[in-house]
Amino acid sequence: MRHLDDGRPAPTGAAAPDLIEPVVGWRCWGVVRETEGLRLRSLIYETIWPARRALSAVCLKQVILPPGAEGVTRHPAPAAACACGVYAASTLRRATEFIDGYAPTGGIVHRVIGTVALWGSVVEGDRGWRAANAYPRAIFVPQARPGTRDLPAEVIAEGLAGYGVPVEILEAAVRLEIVGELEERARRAAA
Amino acid sequence: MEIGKPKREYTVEPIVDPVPREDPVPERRPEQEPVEPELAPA
Repeated sequence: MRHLDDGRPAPTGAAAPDLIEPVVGWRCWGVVRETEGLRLRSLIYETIWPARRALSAVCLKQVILPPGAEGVTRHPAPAAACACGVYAASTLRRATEFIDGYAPTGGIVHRVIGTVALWGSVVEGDRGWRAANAYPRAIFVPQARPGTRDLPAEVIAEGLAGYGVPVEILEAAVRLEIVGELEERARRAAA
Repeated sequence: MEIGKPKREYTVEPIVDPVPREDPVPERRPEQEPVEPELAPA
Protein backbone atom coordinates (compact mmCIF):
# COMPACT_ATOMS: atom_id res chain seq x y z
CA MET A 1 0.00 0.00 0.00
CA ARG A 2 1.26 3.46 -0.84
CA HIS A 3 1.15 6.15 1.80
CA LEU A 4 1.02 9.88 1.70
CA ASP A 5 3.76 11.87 3.46
CA ASP A 6 1.58 12.26 6.56
CA GLY A 7 1.13 8.49 6.83
CA ARG A 8 -2.42 8.25 5.49
CA PRO A 9 -2.99 5.53 2.88
CA ALA A 10 -2.81 6.92 -0.63
CA PRO A 11 -5.96 6.53 -2.72
CA THR A 12 -5.94 3.28 -4.64
CA GLY A 13 -6.80 2.93 -8.29
CA ALA A 14 -4.91 3.96 -11.36
CA ALA A 15 -2.09 5.57 -9.41
CA ALA A 16 1.07 6.07 -11.39
CA PRO A 17 4.19 4.39 -9.99
CA ASP A 18 6.61 6.59 -8.10
CA LEU A 19 9.62 5.17 -9.97
CA ILE A 20 10.04 3.39 -13.30
CA GLU A 21 13.59 2.13 -12.67
CA PRO A 22 14.26 -0.54 -10.04
CA VAL A 23 15.96 0.48 -6.83
CA VAL A 24 19.46 -1.05 -6.71
CA GLY A 25 21.03 -2.12 -3.45
CA TRP A 26 23.75 -4.46 -2.17
CA ARG A 27 23.44 -7.84 -0.51
CA CYS A 28 25.30 -11.02 0.38
CA TRP A 29 24.07 -14.51 -0.35
CA GLY A 30 25.04 -18.00 0.53
CA VAL A 31 25.42 -20.46 -2.34
CA VAL A 32 23.81 -23.89 -2.05
CA ARG A 33 23.50 -26.95 -4.24
CA GLU A 34 19.96 -27.57 -5.45
CA THR A 35 18.75 -30.25 -7.83
CA GLU A 36 18.84 -27.78 -10.72
CA GLY A 37 22.35 -26.54 -9.87
CA LEU A 38 23.94 -23.91 -7.66
CA ARG A 39 21.53 -21.34 -6.30
CA LEU A 40 21.67 -18.22 -4.15
CA ARG A 41 20.28 -18.49 -0.63
CA SER A 42 19.62 -16.00 2.10
CA LEU A 43 22.35 -16.11 4.75
CA ILE A 44 19.72 -15.77 7.46
CA TYR A 45 16.68 -17.66 6.20
CA GLU A 46 16.37 -20.78 4.08
CA THR A 47 14.97 -18.78 1.20
CA ILE A 48 16.30 -19.88 -2.19
CA TRP A 49 16.50 -17.21 -4.89
CA PRO A 50 15.11 -18.74 -8.10
CA ALA A 51 16.91 -18.31 -11.42
CA ARG A 52 15.11 -16.42 -14.19
CA ARG A 53 12.23 -15.62 -11.85
CA ALA A 54 11.75 -12.80 -9.38
CA LEU A 55 11.87 -13.53 -5.68
CA SER A 56 8.59 -12.23 -4.26
CA ALA A 57 8.41 -11.50 -0.56
CA VAL A 58 5.95 -12.98 1.90
CA CYS A 59 5.74 -12.02 5.56
CA LEU A 60 7.46 -14.91 7.35
CA LYS A 61 5.68 -14.01 10.59
CA GLN A 62 2.50 -15.18 8.90
CA VAL A 63 4.22 -18.37 7.77
CA ILE A 64 6.03 -19.25 11.00
CA LEU A 65 3.53 -18.16 13.66
CA PRO A 66 0.08 -19.76 14.02
CA PRO A 67 -2.91 -17.86 12.63
CA GLY A 68 -4.29 -15.46 15.20
CA ALA A 69 -1.03 -15.28 17.16
CA GLU A 70 -0.52 -11.99 18.91
CA GLY A 71 0.86 -9.31 16.65
CA VAL A 72 0.33 -11.28 13.45
CA THR A 73 -1.88 -9.58 10.93
CA ARG A 74 -2.29 -10.53 7.31
CA HIS A 75 -0.59 -8.02 5.04
CA PRO A 76 1.30 -7.91 1.80
CA ALA A 77 5.08 -7.67 2.16
CA PRO A 78 6.73 -5.35 2.81
CA ALA A 79 4.75 -3.47 5.43
CA ALA A 80 6.34 -0.39 7.00
CA ALA A 81 5.16 -1.48 10.44
CA CYS A 82 6.60 -5.01 10.05
CA ALA A 83 10.11 -6.25 9.28
CA CYS A 84 9.15 -8.25 6.18
CA GLY A 85 10.29 -7.91 2.59
CA VAL A 86 13.40 -8.70 0.59
CA TYR A 87 16.30 -6.77 2.12
CA ALA A 88 19.10 -4.84 0.47
CA ALA A 89 21.63 -2.43 1.95
CA SER A 90 22.36 1.01 0.57
CA THR A 91 26.13 0.51 0.73
CA LEU A 92 28.58 -2.27 -0.02
CA ARG A 93 30.20 -1.95 3.42
CA ARG A 94 26.89 -2.38 5.18
CA ALA A 95 25.90 -5.37 3.04
CA THR A 96 29.14 -7.20 3.80
CA GLU A 97 29.02 -6.80 7.59
CA PHE A 98 28.24 -10.49 8.09
CA ILE A 99 29.99 -12.08 5.15
CA ASP A 100 32.91 -13.47 7.14
CA GLY A 101 30.83 -14.66 10.05
CA TYR A 102 27.91 -16.43 8.45
CA ALA A 103 26.89 -19.73 9.96
CA PRO A 104 27.86 -22.47 7.47
CA THR A 105 24.54 -24.24 7.79
CA GLY A 106 21.92 -25.33 5.31
CA GLY A 107 24.45 -26.71 2.85
CA ILE A 108 26.06 -23.36 2.09
CA VAL A 109 29.17 -24.03 -0.02
CA HIS A 110 30.29 -20.44 -0.56
CA ARG A 111 29.13 -16.85 -0.11
CA VAL A 112 28.91 -14.09 -2.69
CA ILE A 113 28.22 -10.36 -2.86
CA GLY A 114 26.16 -8.55 -5.42
CA THR A 115 23.83 -5.83 -6.46
CA VAL A 116 20.13 -6.51 -6.51
CA ALA A 117 17.19 -4.88 -8.29
CA LEU A 118 14.15 -4.16 -6.09
CA TRP A 119 10.68 -3.28 -7.26
CA GLY A 120 6.98 -3.37 -6.48
CA SER A 121 6.17 -1.92 -3.08
CA VAL A 122 9.40 -0.66 -1.47
CA VAL A 123 10.05 0.54 2.08
CA GLU A 124 13.13 2.76 2.31
CA GLY A 125 15.04 3.03 5.57
CA ASP A 126 18.13 4.93 6.71
CA ARG A 127 20.41 2.09 5.70
CA GLY A 128 18.63 0.24 2.91
CA TRP A 129 15.37 -1.09 1.56
CA ARG A 130 12.76 -3.81 1.99
CA ALA A 131 10.90 -4.70 -1.20
CA ALA A 132 8.14 -6.87 -2.60
CA ASN A 133 10.20 -8.22 -5.51
CA ALA A 134 13.89 -8.71 -6.15
CA TYR A 135 16.35 -10.19 -8.61
CA PRO A 136 20.17 -10.22 -8.64
CA ARG A 137 21.72 -7.64 -10.96
CA ALA A 138 25.39 -8.59 -10.69
CA ILE A 139 27.20 -11.23 -8.64
CA PHE A 140 30.79 -11.05 -7.34
CA VAL A 141 32.44 -14.27 -6.19
CA PRO A 142 35.28 -13.99 -3.66
CA GLN A 143 38.03 -16.57 -3.49
CA ALA A 144 37.48 -19.54 -1.19
CA ARG A 145 38.64 -18.76 2.33
CA PRO A 146 41.65 -20.82 3.37
CA GLY A 147 40.79 -23.52 5.86
CA THR A 148 37.09 -23.64 4.96
CA ARG A 149 34.96 -25.91 2.82
CA ASP A 150 34.21 -23.10 0.36
CA LEU A 151 34.17 -24.42 -3.20
CA PRO A 152 36.60 -22.82 -5.68
CA ALA A 153 35.43 -19.44 -6.99
CA GLU A 154 35.55 -20.70 -10.59
CA VAL A 155 33.09 -23.51 -9.81
CA ILE A 156 30.74 -21.07 -8.08
CA ALA A 157 30.90 -18.55 -10.92
CA GLU A 158 30.13 -21.19 -13.53
CA GLY A 159 27.28 -22.60 -11.45
CA LEU A 160 25.62 -19.21 -10.97
CA ALA A 161 25.67 -18.36 -14.68
CA GLY A 162 22.11 -19.66 -14.89
CA TYR A 163 20.84 -16.46 -13.32
CA GLY A 164 21.61 -14.69 -16.58
CA VAL A 165 23.37 -11.74 -14.93
CA PRO A 166 27.07 -10.80 -14.91
CA VAL A 167 29.10 -13.02 -12.58
CA GLU A 168 32.66 -11.89 -11.80
CA ILE A 169 35.40 -13.54 -9.76
CA LEU A 170 37.24 -11.41 -7.21
CA GLU A 171 40.85 -11.79 -6.13
CA ALA A 172 39.87 -11.09 -2.53
CA ALA A 173 38.70 -13.70 -0.03
CA VAL A 174 37.73 -11.84 3.16
CA ARG A 175 35.56 -8.85 3.88
CA LEU A 176 38.00 -5.93 4.05
CA GLU A 177 39.82 -7.12 0.94
CA ILE A 178 36.50 -7.66 -0.86
CA VAL A 179 35.27 -4.17 -0.01
CA GLY A 180 38.62 -2.66 -1.04
CA GLU A 181 38.64 -4.48 -4.37
CA LEU A 182 35.07 -3.57 -5.27
CA GLU A 183 35.55 0.06 -4.23
CA GLU A 184 38.71 0.25 -6.35
CA ARG A 185 36.76 -1.17 -9.32
CA ALA A 186 34.08 1.45 -8.82
CA ARG A 187 36.71 4.23 -8.67
CA ARG A 188 38.29 3.02 -11.90
CA ALA A 189 34.90 2.75 -13.62
CA ALA A 190 34.02 6.30 -12.58
CA ALA A 191 37.37 7.78 -13.71
CA MET B 1 20.75 -6.83 7.94
CA GLU B 2 18.88 -3.85 9.30
CA ILE B 3 17.58 -1.08 7.08
CA GLY B 4 16.92 1.34 9.92
CA LYS B 5 13.79 3.29 10.61
CA PRO B 6 11.42 3.43 7.60
CA LYS B 7 11.58 6.86 5.96
CA ARG B 8 9.51 6.46 2.82
CA GLU B 9 7.32 3.96 1.06
CA TYR B 10 6.85 3.96 -2.69
CA THR B 11 5.87 1.89 -5.69
CA VAL B 12 8.36 0.89 -8.39
CA GLU B 13 7.16 -0.44 -11.72
CA PRO B 14 10.20 -0.93 -13.95
CA ILE B 15 9.70 -0.34 -17.65
CA VAL B 16 12.32 -2.98 -18.40
CA ASP B 17 11.86 -6.33 -16.67
CA PRO B 18 14.75 -6.78 -14.19
CA VAL B 19 14.56 -10.57 -14.69
CA PRO B 20 16.64 -11.60 -17.71
CA ARG B 21 14.84 -13.68 -20.26
CA GLU B 22 16.02 -17.16 -21.15
CA ASP B 23 18.78 -17.17 -23.71
CA PRO B 24 17.15 -17.77 -27.09
CA VAL B 25 17.54 -21.33 -28.31
CA PRO B 26 19.30 -21.24 -31.66
CA GLU B 27 16.99 -22.30 -34.43
CA ARG B 28 17.92 -25.74 -35.69
CA ARG B 29 18.37 -25.98 -39.40
CA PRO B 30 17.00 -29.14 -40.93
CA GLU B 31 19.72 -31.52 -41.78
CA GLN B 32 20.30 -31.70 -45.47
CA GLU B 33 20.13 -34.98 -47.28
CA PRO B 34 23.46 -35.88 -48.79
CA VAL B 35 23.39 -35.13 -52.46
CA GLU B 36 24.45 -37.89 -54.78
CA PRO B 37 27.19 -36.60 -57.01
CA GLU B 38 26.04 -36.57 -60.57
CA LEU B 39 27.57 -39.20 -62.68
CA ALA B 40 30.13 -37.78 -64.95
CA PRO B 41 29.23 -38.17 -68.59
CA ALA B 42 30.87 -41.13 -70.17
